Amino acid sequence: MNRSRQLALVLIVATLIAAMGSHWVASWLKVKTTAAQAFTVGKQNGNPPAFLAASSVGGYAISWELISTQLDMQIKVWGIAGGSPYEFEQFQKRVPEARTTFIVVSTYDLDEALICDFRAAIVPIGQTIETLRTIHSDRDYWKRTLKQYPMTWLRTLFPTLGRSRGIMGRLRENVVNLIKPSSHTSETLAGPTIKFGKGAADDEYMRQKVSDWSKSQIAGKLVATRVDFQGAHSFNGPKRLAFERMLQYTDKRGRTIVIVLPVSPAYSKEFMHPEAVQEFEYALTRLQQGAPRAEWLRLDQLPGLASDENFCDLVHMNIFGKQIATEALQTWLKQPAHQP
Amino acid sequence: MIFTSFEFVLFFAVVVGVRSCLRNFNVDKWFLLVASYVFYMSWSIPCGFLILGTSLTDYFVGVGLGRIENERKRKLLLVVSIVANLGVLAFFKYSNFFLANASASLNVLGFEVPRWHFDILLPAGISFFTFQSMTYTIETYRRNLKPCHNLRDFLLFVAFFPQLLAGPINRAVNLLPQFAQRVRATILEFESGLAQFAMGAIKKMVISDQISPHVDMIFAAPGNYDAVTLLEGVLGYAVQIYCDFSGYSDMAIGCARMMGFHFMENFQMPYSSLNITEFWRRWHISLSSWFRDYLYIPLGGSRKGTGRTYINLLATMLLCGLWHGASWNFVFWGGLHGTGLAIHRAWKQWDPLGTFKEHRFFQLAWNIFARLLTLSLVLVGWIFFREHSWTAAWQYLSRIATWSHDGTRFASPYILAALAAVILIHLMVPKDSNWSINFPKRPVFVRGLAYGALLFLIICFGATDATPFIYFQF
Repeated sequence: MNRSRQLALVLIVATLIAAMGSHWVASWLKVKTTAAQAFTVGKQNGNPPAFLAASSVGGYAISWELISTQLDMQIKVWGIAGGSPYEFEQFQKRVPEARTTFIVVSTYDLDEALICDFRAAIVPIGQTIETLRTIHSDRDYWKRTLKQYPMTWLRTLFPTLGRSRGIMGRLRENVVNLIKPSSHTSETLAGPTIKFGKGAADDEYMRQKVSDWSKSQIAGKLVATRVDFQGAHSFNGPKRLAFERMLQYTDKRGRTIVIVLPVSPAYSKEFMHPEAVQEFEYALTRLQQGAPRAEWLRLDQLPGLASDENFCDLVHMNIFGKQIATEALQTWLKQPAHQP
Repeated sequence: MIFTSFEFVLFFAVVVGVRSCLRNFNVDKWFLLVASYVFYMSWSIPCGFLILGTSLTDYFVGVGLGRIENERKRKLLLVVSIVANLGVLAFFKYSNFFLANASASLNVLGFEVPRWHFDILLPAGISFFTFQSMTYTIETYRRNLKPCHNLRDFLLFVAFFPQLLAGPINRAVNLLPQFAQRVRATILEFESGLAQFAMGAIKKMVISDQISPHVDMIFAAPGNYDAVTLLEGVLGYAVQIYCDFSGYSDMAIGCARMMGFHFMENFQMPYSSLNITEFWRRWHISLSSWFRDYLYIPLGGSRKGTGRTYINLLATMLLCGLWHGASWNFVFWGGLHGTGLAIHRAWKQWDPLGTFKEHRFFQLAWNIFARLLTLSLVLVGWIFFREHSWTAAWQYLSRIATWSHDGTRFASPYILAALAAVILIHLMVPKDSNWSINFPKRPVFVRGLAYGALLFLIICFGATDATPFIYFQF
């Protein structure tokens, strides 16, 4: 065999080995490779279902089973790890019969510096280019957003590509579990797991409290989160535009309930500087002005909820926080002013 | 365009693909020149004109040096080239440093002056391409090199994209003749270049980029951590900077070899050095040899007595420190290494251990001690190199020296794993060989398995954020 053919063969063998290894690691470590997972909460009872636009932050914070029972309607939701209105928007039109829409957000998932790992698999490239042009995005943001598309294509062959942090988190978790089987500390390193259905509260991970963590653990999580953020924290970009469009869409069709969730004080202290808080509030004000009929519940302003006691990691609530937040939402929904 | 980005992979694939279709040698070189300028201008368009300007100056100086026989005039031409290159470097890199120090000094003397500052954008790779270009005029002046009469070849020598941003600083004597020949990579060279590129990508993406957030966190607030964590931080930085810069060099050398060009090696297991002199023969070889050949030896080297040798060593390393950045931290870092080199030289001449070194056990123990001592000096140097201010560096060092217990202890599994990997590589891989050269001669199955493993590491553990290389700031 001549050297050119030999090299071609070597490269094919190498690619195959790497691809097989990548698929094996993805399945062994249960790395999330599907962009969105559909969930239905509650039973179909003839009433039009509600559409829920929420990332794992919303899934952890509210017991949607209870809300479904209280409102007597099924809730349809697509779980997207690290999702934001920019991705939720794509699923909104899949439930045209919905007369009630819940949009659950926080400073974490509305932050434009954080781009969902699955964005390119969900949002068509044409729409992304159009959005980037509309917001006059800078070059770095263009590059960061558009490079996700070839990455998504390559992930067919190598599902672990660009997911090193999740892999290392899972790997570490597996090793720690081997040594100490009850350990459950590195969930966010591997990326949040989305829980919308029953049994979520039984998860051992959700029982831990950030307040019990050592300073070292908090420091480690903050580093991991900082890696996800690239560029300055901002709340004025594609996510806000998509949020605006979602509100306009639901405004014509029925009731919209926007729930703003808190994040842990450890997170706020590190990432939400006064200018970022101001920009976040300004973005919410503009959204409220753009859709005056939408109903807003600011759980981030609920006294006592934003405590490290109520979070199982930097942004996800634990079962204690979930109980408080769910009760607050149930009470709010019962108020005459918020009856449909 | 960073070597680890999608854009670069695409750009390089296009360059290699188009070159393979070009049959005309002249067109091929024009194409490489255009590609190199496109690569550089993707960082900054105006900076493309700067590199063109400095290249033209040195080209015409070189032509002049070839024509003129009068030694005084030749020296004058060389001075023109040095002043032009160092002037550009000084303006872009050191203006604010000099201005800040001047205003601070005047304020100390009682003159109330405001803090002067220019808004200057530091052109990427300026320290590298000016030094590379200077090797041409100096060697032409010394008559070690014939002047290049082909402007295109000379422009390509300065701007050739694999080495443009952070070296290796290739000597005109080695690289320029390669542009005069019809160069095409053999399949063996291509594979060897690809293997070296992949190894560099692993160093950068799997090790350096993964630990950098952890190292950054520790260096950002050293007062918050205990001594163990601070030690972990500086060890982490030692690993990060080595993997980042040697990774870049491997990728640059690999890219060039895939196109048939040969660059000098830049790193050879520096952390396994037995003394600081050996460290500088293994760390950033192209820069250390540049300073040796164009500064230390012209200053007199070791030919003008013991005292003068130490002064020459110190002066060379102080300037080497300043080359890295416009800050007193870098000057101190250079001074520390210069002092280390001088002390090692004195120790070697004194040789107090004499025949003790012949005992096998003593030799082993001494080698371990010498390695640790060398590494300690290098680590202390890295603290000053990495910290943004003098005060922060001292705080960092004093907290380690006093073995401070107050503060958080943060054990980063990333840093510890990377440290273990680098120690293992330094122990297992022969110090003076480049595995990628001979590896393509191994059987197909072995190569397929090895490259598959390298690709697997990048795909599973590589950071894909395309973080800029540390040495781009210099």
